[in-house]
Amino acid sequence: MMESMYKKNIILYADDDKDDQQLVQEAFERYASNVKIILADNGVEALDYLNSLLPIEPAPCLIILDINMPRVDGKEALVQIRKTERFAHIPIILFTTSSQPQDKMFAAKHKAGFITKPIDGNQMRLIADIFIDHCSDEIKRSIRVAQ
Amino acid sequence: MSVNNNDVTILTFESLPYNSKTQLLYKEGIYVGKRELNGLTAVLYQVHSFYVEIFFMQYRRQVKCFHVSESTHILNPYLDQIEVNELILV
Repeated sequence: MMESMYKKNIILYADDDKDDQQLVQEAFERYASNVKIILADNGVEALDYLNSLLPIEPAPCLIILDINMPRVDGKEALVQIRKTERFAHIPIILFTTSSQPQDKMFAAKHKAGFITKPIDGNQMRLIADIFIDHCSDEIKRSIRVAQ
Repeated sequence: MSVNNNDVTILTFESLPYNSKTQLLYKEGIYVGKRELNGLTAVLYQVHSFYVEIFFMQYRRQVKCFHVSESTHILNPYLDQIEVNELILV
């Protein structure tokens, strides 16, 4: 079971909004054979997950962080993740409900992407591919191959 | 329809077609809060000098209607979600 999980690309998604968690999971359903979504309800859970990874376990290929979360918000989680050498270069996206310039600048400063949460179905249908576009070319190919 | 965002008023917003409304909220809206009401999910955004409450039949997928207001009374159901620090930044 562990072996089969390792064959999938892992995406860590932290968001306290259960509806958004469900929508993102559904958006990735067409890539389910190649992607496993790990959900965290806040920044603490996301950091705990990363810090509990053994060296032999794969790190996520992408980390998606909601900004407004209890305990540790997405911006603080981003800063903490970047401090850890193993995760310093993993693509990270701040995924948020408002397109605030100061948040965009914060994301850029910490080498993270910035995506505003979609408002309607037309935007929502594109979101998985927009996320995947932030991954390395090798990961993009491995996710999109043979859907 | 293209919109000069600096000129957007509540009347301008109401006259926009659906896609322009959602695009404007997506690009300019500042999230205030979210609530459930009569089986619908509502999300309130501040857009410049007014507020837009968007009601979803299916959350972030199917919009039922928009409710716009310049009155701060529209904030009342969301007061417990508003963080004072963020308002100061805005």
